[in-house]
Amino acid sequence: MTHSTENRIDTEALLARMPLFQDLSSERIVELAEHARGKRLPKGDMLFHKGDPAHGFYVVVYGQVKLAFPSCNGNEKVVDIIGALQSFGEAVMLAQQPYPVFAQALADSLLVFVTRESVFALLESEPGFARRMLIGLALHNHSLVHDIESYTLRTSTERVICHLLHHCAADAGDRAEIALPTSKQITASRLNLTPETFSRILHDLAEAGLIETDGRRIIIHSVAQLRETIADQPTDAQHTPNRCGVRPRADKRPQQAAASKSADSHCHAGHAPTNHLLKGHRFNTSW
Amino acid sequence: MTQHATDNRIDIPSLLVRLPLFQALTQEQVAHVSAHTRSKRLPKGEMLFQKGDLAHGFYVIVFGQVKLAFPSSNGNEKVVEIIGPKQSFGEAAVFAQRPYPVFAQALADTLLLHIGRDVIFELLESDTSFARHMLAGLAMRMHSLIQDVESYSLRSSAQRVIGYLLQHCPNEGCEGSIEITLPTSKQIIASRLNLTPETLSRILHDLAEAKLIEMQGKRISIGNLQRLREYDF
Repeated sequence: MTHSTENRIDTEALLARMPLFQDLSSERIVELAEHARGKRLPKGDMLFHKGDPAHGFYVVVYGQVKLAFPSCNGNEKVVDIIGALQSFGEAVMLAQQPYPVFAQALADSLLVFVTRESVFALLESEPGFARRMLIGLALHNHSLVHDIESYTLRTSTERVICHLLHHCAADAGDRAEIALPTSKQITASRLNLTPETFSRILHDLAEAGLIETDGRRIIIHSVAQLRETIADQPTDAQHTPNRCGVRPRADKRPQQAAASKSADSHCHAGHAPTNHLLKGHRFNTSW
Repeated sequence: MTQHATDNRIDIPSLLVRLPLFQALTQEQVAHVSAHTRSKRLPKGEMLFQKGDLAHGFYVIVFGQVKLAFPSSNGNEKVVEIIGPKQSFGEAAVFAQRPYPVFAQALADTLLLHIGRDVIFELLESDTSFARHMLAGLAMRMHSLIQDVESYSLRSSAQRVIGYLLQHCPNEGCEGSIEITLPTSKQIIASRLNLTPETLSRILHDLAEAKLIEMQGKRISIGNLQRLREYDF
């Protein structure tokens, strides 16, 4: 292994900051870091292919990695975009299955690879670790289920608006400015839309005076109004329309466990009961 | 506790030890889990929980069948999963401490066990093999969700139907012929595959025309698995 002492200290500090490893003693973190490997991945490089065996999982230190399904006609489908301090590959490692997706750097990235052996050793020695790991998996599981709901039952416009709302900080005011974390093409694929449809919808929202776009920067004139455009259907008394799983501002639900994995998971927090979606809009094009 | 707990014809410990998740537990542990487990009979068509309800534990099916689905106001609910005997569901909602993202409804008369959250957390702390089992189970669930996402986003309708039929193969590369019984109605299976019932019927009909399958109600025989796997659509 080639990493310098300096590099190892960085690894320890990084691992200690991960929600998954938060409860570990510094001795355990040192052990973990000793078996972890740093890996630099230049923009565009492949980390693994679909079908490769998984011997551990990755943490992104900086940069950005996309997870996607390849497709013979070149229309790959982006499943997830992983940014700094997020991890990926835990479930595949634990399920002892080959990778169901490929991973490619969207920007110059530095990753830390944690081996399966060190995870299994922690499971044996640290009773609280399994619980943390289960929480992480369960949250990831919920965000996948949420994606499936979105792909199968939401219209293209609903998906775009939900995505924009996900990027608004929960405590931001009504006017919000967001920067899409990646290109429009990748974002479109993440939302199961063609780039053309994504652009058209952004254009329509701008025409309607709801947003203003400037490359990857998007200004939302009124978050409340944008939310209303997807929530203007009649509602029954006890069920707040909450089609994106975005917590309404007035909602006083308790904060959820802070161990969330994905950057947009705050948007799923406090999932209010939803028992209906927009009428007459079962989405089934593009498949 | 509810009236279900008093259903003393049901021997919870002996049902628990038959489930893979609890097989490796000691008798004492099983007794402890049983004390926090209640049985629940769910007649066909009845709701177990609604989307948005809070999870206080997870469920295992003893017999019967339950569907997990997203509701939709226009009636086009989307079935996410069909759960059968010895399978469990609801673990993710317990660990994520989030409300259920789906509703659950019995597709047949069903007997369920509900295992309380606290006893699961206790076992996780005290029994590493149980923890590994639980992790592996949730990880496998995630793996199959990812495959669903792939299927919905990249596969044609026919590919999805063939993939579903091939799932009933006992092992990955199996050859020869096989006879399967669809576990539920074609309408539910269509929703599970994100197809309209008409599309599913049409594809099954096309596959039968191409002599790849033979259909008799819910029974489907596949004459040559290899041919079906390689079918070019």
